[in-house]
Amino acid sequence: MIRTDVLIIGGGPAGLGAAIETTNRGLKTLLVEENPIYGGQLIKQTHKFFGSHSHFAGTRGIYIQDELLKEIKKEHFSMLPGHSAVGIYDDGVIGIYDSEKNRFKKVSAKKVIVATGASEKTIPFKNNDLPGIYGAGGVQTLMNVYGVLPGKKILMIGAGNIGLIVSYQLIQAGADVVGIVEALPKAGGYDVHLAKIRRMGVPVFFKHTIVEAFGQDSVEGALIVQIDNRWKHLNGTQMQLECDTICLAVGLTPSSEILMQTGIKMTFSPSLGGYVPVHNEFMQTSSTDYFVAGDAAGIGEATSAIIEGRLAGISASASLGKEKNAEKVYKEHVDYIEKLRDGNTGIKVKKGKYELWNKPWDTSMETFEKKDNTIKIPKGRTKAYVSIECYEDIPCNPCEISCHFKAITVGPNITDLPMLDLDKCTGCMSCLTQCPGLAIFGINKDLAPGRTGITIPYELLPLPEKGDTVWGADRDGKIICSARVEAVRKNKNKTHLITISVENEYAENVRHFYPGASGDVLICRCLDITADEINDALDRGYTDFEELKRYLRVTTGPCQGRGCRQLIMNMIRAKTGEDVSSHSTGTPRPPESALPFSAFTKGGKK
Amino acid sequence: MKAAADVGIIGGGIIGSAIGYYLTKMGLKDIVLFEKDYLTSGCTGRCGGGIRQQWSTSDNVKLAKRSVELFEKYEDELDFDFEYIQQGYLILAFTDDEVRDFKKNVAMQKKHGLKVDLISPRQAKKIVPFLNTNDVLAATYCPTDGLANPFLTTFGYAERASEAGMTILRKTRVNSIERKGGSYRIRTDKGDCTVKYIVNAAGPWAQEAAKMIGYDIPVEPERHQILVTEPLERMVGPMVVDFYNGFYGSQEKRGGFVMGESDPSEPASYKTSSHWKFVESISKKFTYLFPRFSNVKILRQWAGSYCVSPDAQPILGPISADDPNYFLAVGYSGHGFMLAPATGEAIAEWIVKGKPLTTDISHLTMERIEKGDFSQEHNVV
Amino acid sequence: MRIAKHPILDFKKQKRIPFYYNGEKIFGMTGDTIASALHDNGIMVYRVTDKSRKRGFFCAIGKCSSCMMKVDGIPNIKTCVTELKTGMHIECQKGKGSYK
Ligand SMILES: Cc1cc2nc3c(=O)[nH]c(=O)nc-3n(C[C@H](O)[C@H](O)[C@H](O)COP(=O)(O)OP(=O)(O)OC[C@H]3O[C@@H](n4cnc5c(N)ncnc54)[C@H](O)[C@@H]3O)c2cc1C
Ligand SMILES: Cc1cc2nc3c(=O)[nH]c(=O)nc-3n(C[C@H](O)[C@H](O)[C@H](O)COP(=O)(O)OP(=O)(O)OC[C@H]3O[C@@H](n4cnc5c(N)ncnc54)[C@H](O)[C@@H]3O)c2cc1C
Ligand code: SF4
Ligand code: SF4
Ligand code: FES
Repeated sequence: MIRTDVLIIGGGPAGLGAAIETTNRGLKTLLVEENPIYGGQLIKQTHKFFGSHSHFAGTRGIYIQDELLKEIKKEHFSMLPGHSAVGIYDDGVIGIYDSEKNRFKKVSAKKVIVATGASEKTIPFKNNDLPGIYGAGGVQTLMNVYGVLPGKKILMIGAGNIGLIVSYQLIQAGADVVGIVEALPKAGGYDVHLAKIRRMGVPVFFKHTIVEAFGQDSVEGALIVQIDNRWKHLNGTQMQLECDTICLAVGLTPSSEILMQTGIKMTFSPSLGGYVPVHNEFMQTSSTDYFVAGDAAGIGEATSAIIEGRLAGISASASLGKEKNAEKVYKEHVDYIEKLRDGNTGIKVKKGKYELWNKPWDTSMETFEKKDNTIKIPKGRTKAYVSIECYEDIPCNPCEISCHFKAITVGPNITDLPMLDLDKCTGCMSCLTQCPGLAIFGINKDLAPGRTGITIPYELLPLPEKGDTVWGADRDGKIICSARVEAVRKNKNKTHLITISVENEYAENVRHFYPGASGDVLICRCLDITADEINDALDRGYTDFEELKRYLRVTTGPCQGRGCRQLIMNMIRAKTGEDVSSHSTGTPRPPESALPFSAFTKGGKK
Repeated sequence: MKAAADVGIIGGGIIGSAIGYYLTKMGLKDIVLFEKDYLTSGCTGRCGGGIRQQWSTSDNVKLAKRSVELFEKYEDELDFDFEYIQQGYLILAFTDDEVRDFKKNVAMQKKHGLKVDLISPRQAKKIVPFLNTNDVLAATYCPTDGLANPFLTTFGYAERASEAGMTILRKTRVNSIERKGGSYRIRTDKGDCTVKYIVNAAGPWAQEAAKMIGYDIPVEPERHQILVTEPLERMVGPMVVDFYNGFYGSQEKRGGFVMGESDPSEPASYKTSSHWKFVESISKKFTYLFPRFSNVKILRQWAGSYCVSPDAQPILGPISADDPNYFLAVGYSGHGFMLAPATGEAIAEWIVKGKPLTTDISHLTMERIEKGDFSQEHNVV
Repeated sequence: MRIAKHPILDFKKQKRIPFYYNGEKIFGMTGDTIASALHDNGIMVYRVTDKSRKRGFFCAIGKCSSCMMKVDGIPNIKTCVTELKTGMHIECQKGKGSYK
């Protein structure tokens, strides 16, 4: 048994940040990192970082870990590279696996800091498991760590920061990026990253989406299609792109399965990217023995990961009596992290964290570039109303005219923004069918417990049917949850009204839906289980996650459900309409990754 | 919730579902099954799926043998692929004492018509080519023993029973029971239901359900740990049991090796957490028996609670003469899956036809325990 | 496809090492994982699942199990995190894998 004061799991920026604080307070600290190299995501980031100068801005990611290592007090520190934490058992012992020697070892620690980072999301499209379709992280690892190009002609999916950065890195490494496909009309990533790519001649297919990958043994091409601002696949715009690699940069999700084994509280937060351990501002989880930091505590960026790591280190030290002035020390870091999260991209994280801490959130804190015709919806409002999402001063006022209850005012100056008088709005939804911009959505919080009805003006074929399970998409057209079709109201003017229901937490973001996933869309990669098979099981009545798991074995493959748990929970929610927060999401069990018996036997004597 | 029904079953594990299935099959359809969480959430959801007839008591042999007759028909009867394979159980003897006991057992089992033999280590190696038989003195082998998937079997029973009219209430915990004239009122958070018969099939929680009408029954929950490996092509047919070291292991139909052990130091508790000592200890046992598989990878370990009775045999039938309509189907002591068909049939017969007809379970009632007149089942892992 | 020259990164000079893919001798570099070496040789299909779907690597960090192959007789090895060693025998894995 290895004994230590503090065990840190994960040697990315968060883990290294934590080690700085604990070692400088004289605590014996052990850091395990599953890779042979430290730095987590940093080791792949060849670009310069943003942020404040005092926090490594302008430094390339690949050099930051060295800077961090310098600040760690070596006499109190030991590191085990190539060791992964594989289990936290009921007596608190942490099992670690030495992959080089094939040995299982045990660690007893007073405090554990989990900084295990994130794993990548995927999206459903036809043949999404064909060789040659890689996650952005996989592509980066292959090219920046091993120096092997993933392919010659790359199609990138997603123009967020990661998609843009990895495209740039691919070009730097000598590949040809045949295009970037982005559903939005504009890039989610920073303009500068985009400009960089653009001036190198990479076409960016805004308002496009990928429909299918094709190829015999591996990717030979992709079918993409243009979508209009109503998300309709535009006929005749289908385009085949020749490529040998499709790189998915569609987001990350926190990876803290190992903490789930301890039974600490978890919560689902769309703003933070998925399931995260409930934690306070100083990174302590619901147990005083476990702390969490970095992407594992909600997807953010490297600078805030370092600071969260430091906070976790200070908290852990304080709980061991090694920091008497914790409150004062916290403050500097907390203030900085708040500032970091004020930007357009950080604000989402800030919101997620505020929700976690039950801190009041004022929507005015969200710095969208929009004029202010937003209205505050009183908390208790259950009656249906509309959300008018028309922020540009265009000459237009059918909404005003269409409302028989005089709830919408544009006024004499018809470029003024429409204003809603909530008290007068009856929720009749007639304005939805009249707005030429399809910019008005119905909101009904009283539809079913825990679920919000969203009425969407819809002009696509085929129309869904009541009871269908569909994918709920956000304003960027990104699928964020499943939804259920609650009502289909056809209209003479062909703007039909479709009411879908989603869990309350998605209500603010879902503004579109895609037909339900089916056919060759892989949900559980490990066991080859498709959306169709899951839908069949749901139809047969296996709508409890645990029953579904035992019926189809989904989530029981070697990935322990990392890839599919969230998708499946969404499908259940959509099918049953129930709040599934009471369902167990399945307890991840040790070992974290499959280990051979020989690792446990030390020679194999009876 | 239905205000009244003929039968209320407490527990949606393999036992509650089997009883529900046989009741509906015998024509009694007004049944409500109460399950506090989801189907298979108890012991059944943690089960290894072994089906063995080689027991040391006559009663267990009879029940298991009848169960196998029923399992053999289920694929059609339940219209469900429950992953049944009949490739035997191979039980290894490492000491002279074991060889002597095994001889006695085989003689008794043969009397009940079981096809079972005491075989040599060489024969054992033929049946399981990868087995290390160096220290094995002898083994017993019964080819009709086997494996199946307990979750799917439960779902099969439940699907057919609910088609026939049984109501399944998930996430509905029975909180208390009141006597009401000759009936019982079952109280739950979601409402009450008055029933003529109650079946306590609450598995590890059986004692709590008995306390609800004032009985203290001698069963206890006890944690048992188990693990599964990565799925591989099937290479080992039978379940291999080693009582000497307290090990059992098999390769399920989908290819994963499933194995567990007995830990005599395990205290009574509802704990289902995992311990590193288990995986260390079982790794040694498994790689000793199967050196060729020392690089097979462990996918996941977990645990469940056995519901243990004093003689390691189930307690069946009315809870007492005063409450003849409150039935127990509890205390399966780690072999409830394999006994579910025969005991489900027997309890259903008892309720519908007044007494069990197919299998004699008269030695397995509460009476034996009250009188202290029972024979201990020894062949338990 | 090795990256020959990189504007930011310096890849250290590595030694070529031989290994076997489905019995055929090919070369990787010291420091490679099995997956990166195969990819360099243009091999992208690492296994074929029970349902006949072809799989290559996906996450490249040992989390998704997409890249499992038979390595020196042992099935289900995650090749994206397994270091390449001289003389290794790598096989495209069919189905679940076996020790037979
Ligand atoms: C393409 C890309 C570009 C980015 N660009 C920027 C940028 O420009 N600026 C910026 O600020 N941020 C950027 N980021 C984000 C930033 O890299 C991450 O937010 C940051 O690395 C998170 O740090 P972390 O320590 O939480 O996790 P990670 O860096 O992911 O580190 C986690 C570590 O834990 C290890 N680990 C996981 N599980 C175990 C286990 N069980 N046992 C042992 N070890 C384990 C992993 O191997 C890993 O090394 C980018 C991210 C990506 C993917
Ligand atoms: C690790 C392990 C391996 C095993 N291997 C084998 C094997 O190989 N072969 C074999 O035959 N057997 C095996 N068993 C034993 C077998 O699993 C059990 O004997 C069998 O599942 C018992 O079924 P049951 O229906 O009685 O109990 P359970 O499955 O526990 O069902 C009882 C149900 O009652 C519900 N319940 C309890 N109280 C209430 C209440 N008040 N209100 C509502 N619902 C309630 C519970 O939620 C539970 O779902 C194994 C057990 C374990 C733990
Ligand atoms: S929903 Fe009806 S009442 Fe409300 S603004 Fe629209 S038209 Fe007016
Ligand atoms: S009709 Fe639609 S687009 Fe026009 S002002 Fe009203 S809400 Fe805006
Ligand atoms: S590619 Fe995901 S585990 Fe290897």
